[in-house]
This record gives sequence, C-alpha cells and structure tokens, in this order.
Amino acid sequence: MQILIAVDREPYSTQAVVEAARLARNAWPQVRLLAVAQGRNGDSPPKAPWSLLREQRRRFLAAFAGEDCPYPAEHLYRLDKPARGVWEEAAPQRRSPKDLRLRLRLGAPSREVLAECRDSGCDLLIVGCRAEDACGWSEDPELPAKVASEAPCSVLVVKGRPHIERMVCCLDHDQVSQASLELINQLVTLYQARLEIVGLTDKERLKAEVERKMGGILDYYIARRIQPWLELVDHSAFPAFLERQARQGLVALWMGKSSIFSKVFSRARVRELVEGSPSPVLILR
Amino acid sequence: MTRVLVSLDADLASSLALRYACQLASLTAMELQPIHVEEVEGERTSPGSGWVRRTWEAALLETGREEIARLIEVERATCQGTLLPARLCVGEREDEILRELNRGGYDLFVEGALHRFTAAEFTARLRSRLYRLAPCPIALVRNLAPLERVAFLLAGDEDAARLGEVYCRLLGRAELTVEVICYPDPHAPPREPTAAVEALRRSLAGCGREVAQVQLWEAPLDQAAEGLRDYGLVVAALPSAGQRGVSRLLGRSSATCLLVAQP
Repeated sequence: MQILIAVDREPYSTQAVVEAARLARNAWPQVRLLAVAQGRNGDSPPKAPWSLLREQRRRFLAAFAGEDCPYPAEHLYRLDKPARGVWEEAAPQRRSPKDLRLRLRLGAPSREVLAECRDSGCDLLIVGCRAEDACGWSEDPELPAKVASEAPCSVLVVKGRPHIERMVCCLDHDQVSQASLELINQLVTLYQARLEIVGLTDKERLKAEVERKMGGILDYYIARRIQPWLELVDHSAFPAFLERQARQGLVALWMGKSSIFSKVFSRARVRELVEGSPSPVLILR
Repeated sequence: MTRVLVSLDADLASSLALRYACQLASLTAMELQPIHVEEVEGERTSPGSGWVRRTWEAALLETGREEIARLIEVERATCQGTLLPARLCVGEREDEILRELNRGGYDLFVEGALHRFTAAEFTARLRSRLYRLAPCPIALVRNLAPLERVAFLLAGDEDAARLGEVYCRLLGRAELTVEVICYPDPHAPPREPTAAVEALRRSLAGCGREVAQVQLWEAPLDQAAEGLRDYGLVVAALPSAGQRGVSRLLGRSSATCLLVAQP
C-alpha cells in the first residue's frame, strides 16, 4: 500500500499525520508527505514549508518509538530535485524495508495534491481539515472536498481527533478493489470499530451483482474475524441515511465508474458530505 | 429433537438464515429442514393438471434446485445440526410454507431478510398471513451476530411467561446469557413491567435459566435499536397492530429476532 499525506501548517494536518502514523504502525505502507507552497523555483526548497515537512516527518517517526520502525532514520535522507518546482527528500531504498519521502511542490494546493496522487500512484490520500465550520484548508478552503471528489485513489478526510466506533461502507456496484477491502480491514482493526456494509437499492430492488459482492465481502471479513453487519438503503433515502450515519462514525463510499453514487452523489454531494459531516469521510476507489 | 423449518431462496438473506440456524443447532439438538418455494408469477400459470402439471412443476423446480443444493452444501460441512435435503415445491410461498409448518409439526420457522433502513418491509412482514398464522415461533435473521447474549424485549402487556416457555423449549439447554429489556410503548398508557418480568423469570426458572440483568430503556428509538445489536437474539412477542413501540423498535433494529405469537 502507498499512502500520500498532504499537509499544511495547521493543527488539522498534524492530526492527519498522527492518524496516518497509527495506520502505518499496523499496515507498514510506503509513505509520502506532501506540502505545497508558493514561491520561486530555485535550487533550494522554500524554507518554511520544508521545515514543516521535516517536522511532520519527525512526528510521524516518533509514533514508532519503542518498536520496530520500517522507515529510514532521519539522518539517512538526501535532498533531490526530481523536476521543476518539485523537491524531494528520500533515503536509499536498501536501507530500510519501507520508503518514507518528503515532497514539496510549487503551485496551487488542490492542483498539486491531485497531481501528486496521479504521479505517485498512491492507494490512499490522507488530508486533514477543520472540524468546526466547513471542512477546508486555511489557504485553500475547497481542497478537502475537491481532492475527495477528483482524486484517482481512495481519500480519507480526517476531522478533529477521530473517535470512530463504527465504519459504514456503502456500495452500489461490484467493482470493489482488494486494496480497499484491506484498507477497511486495517481501519476497523485500528479503531476497533464495528463494520457495517450497506448495499444501495433502486426502488427497493438490490442488483444481483451487488448482493453477490455483499456476500463476498461478508465472507472476506468473517474469515478475518471481523463480523460486519449488513443493511440495505434505497437511493431515495440515502441522503437521510448518510446524515444519520455521519453523526455516529466514519462513512465510506465505494465510488466506481459504474457507481450510481456518481449520479446520486455527484461531486457537489461529495463536497457536502466532506464539508458537512462531523466525522471523518472515506472515499474508496 | 427440535424440528426447524428454514426457508431458502438463492440469495444472501437465505445464506444468513441457514448459517444462523446452524449456529442454533450447535447449541442444542436440532433437525433443520430447508424448504424452497418456486413462486409462480404472471404468465407462469399452470398449463393444466395431472401429468402436465407435474411436468411443468418439475421444470420450474430445476431452476432453483441446483442453487439451493449449492447453498446447503456450503454449510453442510460446518453445520452441527442434522441438515436434511431441501423440500422443493411450486406455488405461492406463504401458502406452501404454512402448509409445511402445519404438516410437519415444526417447533421453529427460520427465514432471512436483509435489514432495510426504512421499516416498511418489516411492518408488511409482520402483517403477512405467514406471520399471523404460523403455528410456531419465527426467527427472522437479519444479521449474523455471535449467539452469546439473548434479550427478552418486554413492553409490559405481553404474555411474558409464554415467551419464557418458548425459549425453554427451543434453547433451554443452551448456555446463553439471558437479559431482559423493558421498553415501554411511548404511545400506550404506562404499564408497570415488574409483573411481566417476574412472570418471565418464573418461566425461565422452569428450564434452569436465570435472568442476568433487567434494564429499563427509555432511550430514543435509534439509540435503542443500536443497543439491540449487542444481542445475538432478541425474543419478543409478535407485535399486534396496537403495539407500535416494540414494532417500531424491531423494525429499526438490525438484530435477529424471535417472534412469538400471543394467545
């Protein structure tokens, strides 16, 4: 698994790093920490955002104190400039089981985060946002909603200090990736949360392929000693259902190309969910 | 040995029902009789009688035979109860199941139904002929939860002793933690639940079961429904039209429930 953590200087980004580190202690993913800055394209990266990244890396590695850390120690990293407007600090691959690298890009925050998602081929993007008011970034209020809507990978939007007792994972198609199943497995284990699998019906009818997929997902998690609960929700009642669930735990939507979520839950609605939900949101792709 | 009729179709709800029935059978001696009814709809009406009808029915049954057999074989290896070959029939589902329940003298009927966000389907099920006329209790399986704790749901106006008698007959030998939840109907005149609780206690004592805990729930509906998830089985009287409180709670809850008709 590869995780991209996009950060700025605000406390919600620190919380995103903390949650990412908790996940990394279980899953040992490859990790990229990304910041986006304005500035001139010189030989050296802009100081303030680069210091921020190093501080977040220190915080991430501190989560492994007292246990085996699969990531390189801080003294092993070397600065590089792989492309115009991009700086990177990484350690030689052979020095540790897993890769952790810092990336700084110049440009507009949303655009550069999405570009990094595409370039890195990451499986999961983690961003934080304000828990109060509308969920946004200080320098780009629309960033969390925009990346949740447009990223090619799964996106976890972290709000506040998550206290997740339940994960509600919703699907209306059968294109569910193995990576997303494993990600949910990791999160359920991490938060000791109850797992609920929700199938979307159309006029109370459940598509045969969705029913089969729900059965497959049920068996997948039972084999891993996780007991999911199953529920059906008609797409006409889905907004009301989400509003109720968002108060009680983490809501995850399996968005696929053939998903009616793209119609029922347009980009505008993804924004509404990300911005309005008091709980973390996970978009699964 | 307890005789259980398990309704099966080629769907996920039936898979849950069969797995749950097998879980019950692991706790006490049970004989599980699967039944599948191939329903006749629309233009698929019987073309005649006698040999013609039998041939037509056999063709219809072939549709479901392999799928049901596959469903059963998946569970057979791990099912601790006696799992009989499925009875297959053609007709109207409720009629055929009621006929079999009455013919076979079953102690329990088990069917599965995936829980829905809106309770309309559950309410319709409670009002169906099958639920009103079934000669035995009905276990409606909506999710697979570990069967360790059982909750008796009392509104205060049901025959609680009968609930205990039924439980003793079906699961009296199972080592399960038994609890009582008093959930007064907010739409009905307030009733003191003490008498019902004591009647239930006496009834359960008949099979050596003790009530571990009695709780009075006055929480909002969603919260109460969520709380029922902690139980592998919720035992309740089959709600009548006037018992809206328990009906709404069971409809909102996704826990498996054992519904016992009241005299």
